[in-house]
Amino acid sequence: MSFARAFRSEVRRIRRTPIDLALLTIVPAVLLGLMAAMISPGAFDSLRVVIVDRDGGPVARKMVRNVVALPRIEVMGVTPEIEDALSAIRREDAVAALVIPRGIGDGRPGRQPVEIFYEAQFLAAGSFASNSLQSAARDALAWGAAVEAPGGAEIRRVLPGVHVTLLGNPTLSVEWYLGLLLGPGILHLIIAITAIASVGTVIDKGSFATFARGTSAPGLDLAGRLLPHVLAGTLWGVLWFLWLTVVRGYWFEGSMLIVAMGLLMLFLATVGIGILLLALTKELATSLSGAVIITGSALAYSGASFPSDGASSFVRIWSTALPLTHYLRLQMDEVMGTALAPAMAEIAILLLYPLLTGGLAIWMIARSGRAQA
Amino acid sequence: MEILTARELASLAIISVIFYAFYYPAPYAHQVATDLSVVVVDQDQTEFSRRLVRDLNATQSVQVVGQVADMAHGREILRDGRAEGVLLISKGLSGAIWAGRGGEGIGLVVEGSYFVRAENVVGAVSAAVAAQAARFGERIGAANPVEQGRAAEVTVQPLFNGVAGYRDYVFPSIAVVILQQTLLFTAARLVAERRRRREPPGGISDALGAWIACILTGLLGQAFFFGFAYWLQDVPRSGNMIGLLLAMPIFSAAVAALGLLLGTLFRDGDDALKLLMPTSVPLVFLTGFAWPLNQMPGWLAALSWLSPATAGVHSIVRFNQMGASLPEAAAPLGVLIFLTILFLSGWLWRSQAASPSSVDMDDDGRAEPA
Repeated sequence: MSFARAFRSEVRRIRRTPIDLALLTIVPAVLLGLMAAMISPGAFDSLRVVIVDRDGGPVARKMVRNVVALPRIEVMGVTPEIEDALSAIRREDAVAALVIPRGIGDGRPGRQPVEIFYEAQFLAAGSFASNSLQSAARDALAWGAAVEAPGGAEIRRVLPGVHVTLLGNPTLSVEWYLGLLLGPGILHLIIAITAIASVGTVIDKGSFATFARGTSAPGLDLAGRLLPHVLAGTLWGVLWFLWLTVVRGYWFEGSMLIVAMGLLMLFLATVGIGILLLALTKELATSLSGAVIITGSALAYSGASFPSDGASSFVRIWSTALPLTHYLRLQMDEVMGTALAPAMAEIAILLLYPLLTGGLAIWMIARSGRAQA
Repeated sequence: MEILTARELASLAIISVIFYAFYYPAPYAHQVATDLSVVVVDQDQTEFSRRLVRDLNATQSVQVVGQVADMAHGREILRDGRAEGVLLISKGLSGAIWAGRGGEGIGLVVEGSYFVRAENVVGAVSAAVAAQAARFGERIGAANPVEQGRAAEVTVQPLFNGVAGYRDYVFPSIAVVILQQTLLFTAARLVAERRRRREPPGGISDALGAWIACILTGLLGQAFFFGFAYWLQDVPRSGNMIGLLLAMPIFSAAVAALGLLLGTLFRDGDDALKLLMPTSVPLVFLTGFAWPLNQMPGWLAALSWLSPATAGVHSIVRFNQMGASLPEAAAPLGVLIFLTILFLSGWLWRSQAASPSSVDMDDDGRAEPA
């Protein structure tokens, strides 16, 4: 079967198979839609904190005012009891607590420090609230020092500010940050599954022999079958980024075209890995499990959500071996508008996946036909 | 027994669970971001700036990989991907500090699209600057607020995850999702494969038997994760053991019932896997571990609770990691009980109503969903 005929045949098969059709249409639409809705607020807002005020004096009141005035923070209560605050955190009613010690403004040395307890089990929100509370507390302390001792004002003046420029995400938007990771991550998994499901239909009694003997060019046949999946993944990826850029207003400093090329390469790599799993196991369910393990956790190994510098050798090697890592490097480079050379290097690496994994899979499948001929 | 003897089911229910317990946390095992590369543009060239660079290089988060003459060169290095940040110490900064004019003499350009990296670099630079400025403040005669006792220190204490480590943040929540998904796939495939083989439904007792078998399978997985894997990897645990032991079977019961119910919607185990597997990544985020549930649109947060993993994370993690008392985790536990009743009712109803005689096959001989 020629490449074009295999392509047309696969399109017809997908249209006739409701689950495979859903996996390339409704499923990505629903899953990406849910993720888009989830991150649509863009940044944390109204994170609830508790204040434990054991002093009640002018500095304590200034601190409470500062916290109340914090954007994105909501004071759910002021209490003298720390246990009430900790219980609120354990109930997840609050993400942090600020404890103002007794005698905070009286100038005596050796007193208790201001304490901030934050929810580190759900770290993102807790850490944000903690940083906000720190700035509010330090400002109030500096205010108190300035009021009561002239030296305090001096120390405040000498602190040089740090002007931070964030490339690619100037407002530190969580929507843009997560959007950049979630769309490609989810599509990577879906396309691996649909590719395996597609090629899995040619397995007969645990072997590719019948398929391999029935075609003169198994490589072209398989490529034609897999192309609709690659195109669907790329299309959904482009739509995802059009949503984030055109509708939500974020932008790539670099080229969206290079990102689209990267998506195409990513899904070529994805189907290459998918058919290699199938060629190795000759069994659909095990290949699907393998795909979930490899592509479902590829985000964690990519180093984009958490840097892999400092990780074990296994993690760094495996991270480098996964295509999503290289795609995300390319994508992040385009987010920040880096030079062309690093992006091209990542595209070249991504090209190796369909050549190596796909090539090996096709060789194994073709060989099974010859072996049993 | 079918779970243990069928190769695909055993690989989902047992081998996957064992594998995931170590494979998933591995990329987060180093807990904190280290050695993020920064180039420095030191236009000040004074003792202050040199000390600042030395202090910064001594931090765990940042590694100064070089110094360049100007910002254009620094940005070029950033564009080429040879560093993750550029620190500019402007000319005359220390003089300004001596004169009591702090201002904004330090510039930092970092890659904002890598959130955690940016946060770490900014944190390390800010801490190094504050430490240096405090030393200078003392030298120019300004009182050190801490030593003078005029202003109290601020201490920050991360709760339940003492090192504020990334693995101890990510893994306990994702473990619950992994345990849900592996049991969900197993239960759904078990039922769907029975339908593919056109086995007649066996009545309420068979349905309850399958449910209890799946609960036990799920409990074994949880015991392996929360007992052995957490102990071996020293994940914070055992905050409230009694609460955890109460939540485990309820979570397993809800997931098992949902998996069995979903299995009745498919007439082929492979189809069940194909449709359920892509939900894994979204369900992780819908638990609210990264983006809190109360920050999501209300309808989406409500929808999220239909996945047992959401209530599972907010009850099991509260008990195991946060040491919550029973009243403090009552709400998510109540949701789990409600979901168990809902899904079990659905499973018992479907297991009676489902008849394999109505199987429709497509042109390729593949089963179509009911």
